[in-house]
Amino acid sequence: MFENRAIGLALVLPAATFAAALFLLPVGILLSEAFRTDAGWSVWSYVEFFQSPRNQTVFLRTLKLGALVAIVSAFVGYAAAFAIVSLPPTSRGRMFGLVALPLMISPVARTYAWLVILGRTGFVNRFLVDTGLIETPIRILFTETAVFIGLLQLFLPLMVISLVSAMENMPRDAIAAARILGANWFQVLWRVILPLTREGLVIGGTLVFTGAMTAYITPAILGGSKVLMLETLLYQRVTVANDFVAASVIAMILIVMAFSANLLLKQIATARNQR
Amino acid sequence: MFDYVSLQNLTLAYGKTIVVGGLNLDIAKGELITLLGPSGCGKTTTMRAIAGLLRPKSGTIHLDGTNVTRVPPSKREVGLVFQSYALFPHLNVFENVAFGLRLRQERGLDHKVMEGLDTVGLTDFADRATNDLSGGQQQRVSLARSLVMKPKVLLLDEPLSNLDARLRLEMRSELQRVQKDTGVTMIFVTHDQSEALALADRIVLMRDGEIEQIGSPEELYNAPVSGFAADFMGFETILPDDGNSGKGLAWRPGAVQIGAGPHHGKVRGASFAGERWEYVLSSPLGDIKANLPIGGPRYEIGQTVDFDLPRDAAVSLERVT
Repeated sequence: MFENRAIGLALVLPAATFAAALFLLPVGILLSEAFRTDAGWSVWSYVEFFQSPRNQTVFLRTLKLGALVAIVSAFVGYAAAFAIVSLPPTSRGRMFGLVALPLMISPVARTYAWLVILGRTGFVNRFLVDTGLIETPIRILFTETAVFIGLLQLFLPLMVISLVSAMENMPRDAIAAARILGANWFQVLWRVILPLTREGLVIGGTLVFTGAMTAYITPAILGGSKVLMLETLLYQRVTVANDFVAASVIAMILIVMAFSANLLLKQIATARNQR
Repeated sequence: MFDYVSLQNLTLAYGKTIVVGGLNLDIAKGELITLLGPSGCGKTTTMRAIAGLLRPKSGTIHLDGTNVTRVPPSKREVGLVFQSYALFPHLNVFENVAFGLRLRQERGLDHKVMEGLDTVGLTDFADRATNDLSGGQQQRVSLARSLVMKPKVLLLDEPLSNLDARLRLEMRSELQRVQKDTGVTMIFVTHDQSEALALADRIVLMRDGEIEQIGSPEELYNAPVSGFAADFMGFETILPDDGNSGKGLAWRPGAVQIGAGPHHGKVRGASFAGERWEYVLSSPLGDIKANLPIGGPRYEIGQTVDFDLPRDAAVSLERVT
């Protein structure tokens, strides 16, 4: 037993050392920056950060867009995942591959595609003008809507994949059993599918929320400096203002938000199950 | 009176593959029917269609005088005990049984659930998680969950096949008792002929999506119509009758006599089965299985023997295949 343990420790040591020395330590140093002031250790930097109305706006916008992307992708994700698991095995694999395919394409390329689609002379505007729905092209790019669309497209696959694997792990025939016991489709969703896929929802929700919140390229390209999010603000603070304190405050906020989102989702998921 | 459940010209298909073709079947109220047949014969598909999980390609399903062909499963008032039990793992035993009653918002829910658990002898398990239960217990929960809904028809899909031999016999008599007590019409799907013989009022033997033979267990056991039916009922030696009539003769292993007779064969296998010896003979007629009582003469593997297929011990078949 001791021997196994020793071997186990020995095996884990290189990776652990690597992670500690080259990841945890620098992150720790960077984050501690935000607690250090001329007067010693304090949380003053945070108070200062949140006192700025612009920072408040950016913080709330990040929270809002992250949550919105997570919620919408959950709705779309359940429908897509259910459609996929209802397919026979071969087409299921094919559809699953199609969902995963965008993940293999660089987010830069995927986001630039939206520039073409959403721009003043882009596909969407031209269609709306040609059909007479609007007279002059509307501004979509560099709005929250554009960032939302970009982020949703970027992270929806993660939600679908999480939900598909959760649905595949549901007991066979559980849905059919509920139907025969008199449940309509809404009741099947609420009383059987949702409780049995809640772990997939927690994983998918956390991935999408933290992903949307910490994405840089998409808000940078589709939102620009008009629609700043925490991530783009962080970059701006470092490159433009050389303000490392504000940057590490933002980094800390992002980490805390990611962990809170996960805890909150877990809470919601288990609360529904206490009956 | 045989029309409580009525399937008329029912054709079922998965995509373009026709699984059941033009099936006609009438079932009386309170009857226990078994759909018997090898895997792929369409018995489970037929059952799923009765439950409403599969929409027929053509034909109709009547239940208690109503055409339910297009009624969704949630409104058919049938019960289904799945082969995989299909319990809800996020709910305890009580809530599993209460699932359908809650949806109906019935009064006296606690009482009805406990009554259902009492029927299957699981009152002490109400608060347990379903994952803590044995296979047999999960099966009972599944049965209680269907029974409390007072379904018009209770469908059971190979409910005993995941249980070990002893438990299977126990559940078999339990099902009979439940059926007697509740008087519910049962359609029991199985591939096990001994299960079908022991349980059924009538057996529906299916073959390639069609009904091969319907009858009481005695009828099927003593008078199979075809080689297929005979093979399913334990006749091991099936030969064409004289001439090209297409008719056949079938013998059970116990009817074959070894030691004298017009045929010759070589003993290829001999195994002791407690109350008898089971022999396999290779002969020009094909492989012959024969059972001999303990205490009689013994034959060794490789030995050449004479044997007889007595005409008066044979069952005649309308079709040899």
